[in-house]
Amino acid sequence: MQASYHITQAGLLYAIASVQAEEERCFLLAFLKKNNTSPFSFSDAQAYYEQDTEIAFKQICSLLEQGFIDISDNVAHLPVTQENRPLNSEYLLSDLNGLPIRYQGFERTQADQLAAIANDYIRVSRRSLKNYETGKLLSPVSLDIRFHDKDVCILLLHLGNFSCLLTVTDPTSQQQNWFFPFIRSLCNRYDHDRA
Amino acid sequence: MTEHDHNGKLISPDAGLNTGGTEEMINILRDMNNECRDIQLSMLSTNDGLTMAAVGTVMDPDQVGAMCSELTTVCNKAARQLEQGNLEQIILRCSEGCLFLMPAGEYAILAIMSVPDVNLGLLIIEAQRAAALIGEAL
Repeated sequence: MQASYHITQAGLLYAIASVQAEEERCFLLAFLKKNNTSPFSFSDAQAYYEQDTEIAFKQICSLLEQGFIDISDNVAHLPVTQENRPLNSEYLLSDLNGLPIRYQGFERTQADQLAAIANDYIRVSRRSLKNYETGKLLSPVSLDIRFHDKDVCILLLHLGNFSCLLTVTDPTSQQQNWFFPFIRSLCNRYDHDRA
Repeated sequence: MTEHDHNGKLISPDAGLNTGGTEEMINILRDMNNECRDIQLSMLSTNDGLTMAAVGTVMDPDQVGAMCSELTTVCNKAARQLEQGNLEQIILRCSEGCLFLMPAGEYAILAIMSVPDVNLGLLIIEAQRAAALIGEAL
């Protein structure tokens, strides 16, 4: 089978939406990381499942059916570079300790404040969301707040082992061209096994 | 070059880049330094203070390594006595710079010296990444 696959917008959002390591989510994250060098093919799926063709085939079919991946012949392949960042947008990437990691369009003090606020809002929201069936706390996927007369959206990203907050002023950022390669570059750099 | 030649300073961030250690370790440290420009010196030493690799200029690597080892030992002891679990990171923020230490695998300590107003979020995740890679490699 020579077809290659690409992850869709829905697949990307599903992959980074939760810290729960479900099979499909782990596979999609591996898919994202593989896309670093070349398109994802069926042989990559086989390799992921240690040459178990049947499971690989079922997983690919399931993801295709759910619209998380798509078959493509000539997808423009964007290699992961340091330039895969929101070049013209205001953004702040911060960790779950409330510390800024990277930012653009904010002053240093603003970035420090916003990183701390974003972390607090996510934590507070987490306390108020509870799954009554399992009794576990639920994490919000995103939050909209107002900061210094600007509407900002805080996205909670779970990139495998690495969770972080992406705060953006553009509400359509998830549909922007930079979003996919940016997430992919973060996955490739920071989703690693802890020693 | 001795400590005395540089007014008693053990490190000299402004001097030309001087590296030592295995290629793999150097590459990991250099990649981290490139990603976080606030880092002036990164160093990998064994738990007992012997320098394995350094990126940035260290006038007396063994002395810096020994200090890092001592600091880690003291902090480990404090963490144990205060029943705070295993030591994960040490951050010393000083007026002239910042020193960050963390274990890199079982046998090594990653030491990073940076400018005082370092972007701590970036430094921490880059250090965690480097420590994980070093831990795997050792």
